[in-house]
Amino acid sequence: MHSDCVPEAVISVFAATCGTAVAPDPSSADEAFADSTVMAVISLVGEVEWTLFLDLPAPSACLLAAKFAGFEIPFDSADMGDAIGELANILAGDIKARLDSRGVRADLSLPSVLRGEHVNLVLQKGLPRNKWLFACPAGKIRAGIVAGRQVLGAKG
Amino acid sequence: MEIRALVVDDSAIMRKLVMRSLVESKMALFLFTEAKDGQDAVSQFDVENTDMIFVDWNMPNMTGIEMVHEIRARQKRHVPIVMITTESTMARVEEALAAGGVDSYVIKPFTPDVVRQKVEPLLDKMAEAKKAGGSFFSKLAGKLS
Repeated sequence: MHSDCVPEAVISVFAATCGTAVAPDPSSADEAFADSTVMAVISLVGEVEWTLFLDLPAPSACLLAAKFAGFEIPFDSADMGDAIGELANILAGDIKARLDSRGVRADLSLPSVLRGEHVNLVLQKGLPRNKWLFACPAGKIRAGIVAGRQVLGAKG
Repeated sequence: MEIRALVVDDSAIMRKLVMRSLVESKMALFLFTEAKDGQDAVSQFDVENTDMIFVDWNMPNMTGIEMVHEIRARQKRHVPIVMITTESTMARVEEALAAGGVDSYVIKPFTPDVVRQKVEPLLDKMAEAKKAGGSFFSKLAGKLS
């Protein structure tokens, strides 16, 4: 099973980059994402075809970006896009390393970052997808993948 | 020791983090020039005055490794290059290390201590080379060219 790499990587990367303990949020309550959010999107393409997204509500983004960078970053600044893009890049790198260790090869795209209100990925119907909600002292974090060619969880 | 460092990353935040880690490591007095991608780095590379380069791998316009090839072709003396990378490009960075294009690497996320561990040996070699009249890196550059 490979999609399990994603939540493992989220927990590991936020601990390493932001010194933050992140845990799965069983509530699955997405209300925190209804207002301003920042979302980074990266593709992993090779033996898997995944679109990875990392989605943070404004309060979480500000706190986590400040922990990552070591200084305050206003939500509306260019630096916010940079910081969240870089966090997503490190997350995707960690996922790629986990896939590599299972013999599954994939390359990464550069991250794209979207910021706004009610940001949603509008995806082709029928594509396998999975998303995970996390909680940490900074607030909520949402991560997910949408698979292209390969069904989520299939062996490499 | 004064080191004129070129810091290359498409992320301004990462450039700041690299520069801050180097300053906090207190290994040397670093004077920074920033470049936003490989192309920008090549145009800002000062053959006479750039002492060390810190470069990201994954960048638009010109990747880190493409920049390394360009710099190696232009340099008059060996300029140590430290690749800043995620786990995802480690295999390719190791190839670049083995081929002599890259002198060291730092994996993101990093701390000033990790940066110190990777960079201090390079600074020691530079200091030795200065004492010996620039022999170490001149010889290394000769071998690589």
